[in-house]
Amino acid sequence: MLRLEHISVAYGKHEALHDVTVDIAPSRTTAILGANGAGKSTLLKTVAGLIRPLPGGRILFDDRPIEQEAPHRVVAAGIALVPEGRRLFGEMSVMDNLRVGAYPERARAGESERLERQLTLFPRLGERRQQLAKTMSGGEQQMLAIARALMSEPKILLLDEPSLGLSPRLVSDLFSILRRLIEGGQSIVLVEQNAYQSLKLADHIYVLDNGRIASAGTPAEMRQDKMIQKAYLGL
Amino acid sequence: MGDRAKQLLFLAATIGVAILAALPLGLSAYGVSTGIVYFANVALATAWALFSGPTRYISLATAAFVGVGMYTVAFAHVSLNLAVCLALAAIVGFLFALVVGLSTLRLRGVYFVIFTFGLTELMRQVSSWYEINITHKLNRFITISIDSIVIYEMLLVLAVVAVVGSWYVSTTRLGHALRAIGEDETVARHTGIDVTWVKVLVFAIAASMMSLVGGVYALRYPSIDPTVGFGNAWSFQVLIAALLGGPRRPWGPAIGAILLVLLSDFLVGAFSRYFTIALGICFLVIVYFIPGGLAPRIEQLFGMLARARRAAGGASGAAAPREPSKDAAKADIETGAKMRAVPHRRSALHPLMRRLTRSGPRLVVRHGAGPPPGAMLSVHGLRKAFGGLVAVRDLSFDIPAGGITGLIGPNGSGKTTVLHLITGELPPDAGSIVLQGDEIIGVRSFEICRARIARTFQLVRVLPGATTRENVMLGRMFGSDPTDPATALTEADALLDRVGLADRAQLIGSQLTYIDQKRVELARALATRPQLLLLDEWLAGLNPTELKIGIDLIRRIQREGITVLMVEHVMEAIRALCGHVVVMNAGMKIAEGTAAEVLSDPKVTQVYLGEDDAAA
Repeated sequence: MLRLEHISVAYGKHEALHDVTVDIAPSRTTAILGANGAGKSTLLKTVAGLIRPLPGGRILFDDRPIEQEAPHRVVAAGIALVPEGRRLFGEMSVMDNLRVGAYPERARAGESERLERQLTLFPRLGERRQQLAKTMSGGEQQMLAIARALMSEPKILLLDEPSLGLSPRLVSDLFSILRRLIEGGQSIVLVEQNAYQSLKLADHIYVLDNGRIASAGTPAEMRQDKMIQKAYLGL
Repeated sequence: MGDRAKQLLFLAATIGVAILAALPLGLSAYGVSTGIVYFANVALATAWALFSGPTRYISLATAAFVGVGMYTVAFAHVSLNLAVCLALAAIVGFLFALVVGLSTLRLRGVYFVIFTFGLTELMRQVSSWYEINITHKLNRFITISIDSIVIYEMLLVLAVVAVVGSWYVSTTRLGHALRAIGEDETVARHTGIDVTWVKVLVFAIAASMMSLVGGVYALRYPSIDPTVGFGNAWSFQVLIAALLGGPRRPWGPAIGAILLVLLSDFLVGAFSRYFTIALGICFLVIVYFIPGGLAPRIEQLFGMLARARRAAGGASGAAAPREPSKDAAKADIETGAKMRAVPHRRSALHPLMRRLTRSGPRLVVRHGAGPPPGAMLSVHGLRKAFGGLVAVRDLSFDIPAGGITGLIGPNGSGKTTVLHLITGELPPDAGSIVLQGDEIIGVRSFEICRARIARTFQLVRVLPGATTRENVMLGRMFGSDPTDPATALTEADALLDRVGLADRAQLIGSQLTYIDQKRVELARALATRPQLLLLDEWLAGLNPTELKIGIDLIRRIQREGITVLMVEHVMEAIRALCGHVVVMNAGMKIAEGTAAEVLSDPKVTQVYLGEDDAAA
């Protein structure tokens, strides 16, 4: 469904991604592991159209090249990013944040049903419809950020470090919500430092090291890999 | 740029100034008056940028200060001699700006711009009212007759003083403080910078220069009136000149001012009727195509030339480059170049000093024979409410000296608020915070930093436009044991080495990855030489392997004698590091004890850990 071919990205002289080729199948969860600075966030941002790859690479979404599309067109095509640090509209209420999420034309029909679905999936948001986003706790904000992304009815949901800064209890709440989304058929690309949770959730893993794909495989294969254990699981 | 090139540049500048000074002897009256306009604009634009460039407080009060200078001279010259009049103009401008600054520099962004604009308007109205109603004459005569060549020379001196002075300031601690304020005032405060004082002082120094220029300029006129003195054109011309040249380089505004006057003259000649339209179009083009101003572009060009020459030299095996080329030169023309001056100057001037001031591998200060006994910090009955929401409610706990205390609790339970209260970022509603016997409630953030409490921020706050190295230098220059920039530079590099960032010293804050930004914050906090270090989720977002490294680092910091308070959600780290843990929920303390005790407490399990982690 989503395929990155020979994608390279550079910030000035520093090459953040080097010749990355990744295949993401529909209705699957793909996790990307890697050290901080390995290029995981850059990969997600490049897919979302926030960063332009160097010439020579392609990003195909449903066989259509999207590597030159503006970010809003990428969302319209069906790819939604939940960025690191949440990036909510702080001065807007929960409901308004969600409604903005449904801005793409494709997502406008059925907006109210989808809104109800989010409020069921995230009951805390239902209790706080009129609260301003900036006054919510970190965990609630993260839930809202995910719900807002889901409002655009994405075919693929990109999650950048969703558990960052959440208390242990909220982390387990978050992952059980993600599990429910996956069971409902949502395709997800997950970047997460919580490598154990990623391995539990994902169908397929890519490991990024210094901007290159270092290895790929199923979670079971990854758990056996000595290099992975040492580098990312702290064993 | 090498030493030799610098010497040449200095020589060229000196000769240039000498020629300019001698020039009026051969110039027509028109030439002299053109020179006057150039020098006045150079001095004003440079003075404007001294404050507004680094701090990004855009001021439209230039005309107010120029007018104050003009009117001071106009009033005073009747009874006093000229030198005294001019000194008086500078003093009055300084004091006026001091008052204005103290009352307005709390304003940020557009509010400050509007206020300064309004100030000029107010001054014009008040002076008009005074002249019309009190003296009954709008024009105020200047009766000194003074040769325009003297005005020319005086303004030349002021222009040179302004440019050299602002170059000098940019290399001092004050210059670093100004840039830090422009990048992030909160960080500046928590790094030990007395933000209010720095802003007001430099605003007043710049204003004093403007008033002095105004005072000299007034001597050209037979009489002045409020529209000459307090005309908004001054404010806008100066602003445009500085933006055109590059407000964040000491010599940028000077170039901008010269080009602006040239351009205006040319346009007046070429399109006399449509002059303002043509000028407007030129500005749009300039702002669109060179948003950072000309100076960074020129530096970039010279950098490329120098590199090309070095490459050529290297190929022929002639001269090896003295200093390896630094990537930062190209990395960010807006901000990247600004810090290079200091390291270069240092390596050029103080090879011996550098050796003498180099500290050993251990940079964190030790307290003699180890940590003092008892509590480093005691919090008692602390309360803070935001409107109806009570974020911290009757909270009391001690931070044992020399240990690592964990502060945990659900998101939104008030942990970060506690850090804000300790560091003076927020005032508490009630309670006391005692640092080794001293009450610190009501003490301002920068003083708390100097009292050796340092912190990191939950949402990382690295100065985005400053290099990694400059971020850390700030801590050393303004913390509890302030040093000069040169010493700070050496020690910053050693600290960067310690947190694993030695190879990224020249990168700009915004180019760093999340984890590296956290490392910079920690190094900056350590550079202030704290006795108590407050970490706000410093370990969040690390993978298990990085987490181990992070835990080791915190343990080493503690072993060197620094007491740590860490807000953290990573239970592995709490178990590994904390001898003492405080658990908060809804603003209250619900448990306290060793990590093992609190993590097996059913209350803590219920509100915080959830079922999964309780077993672990």
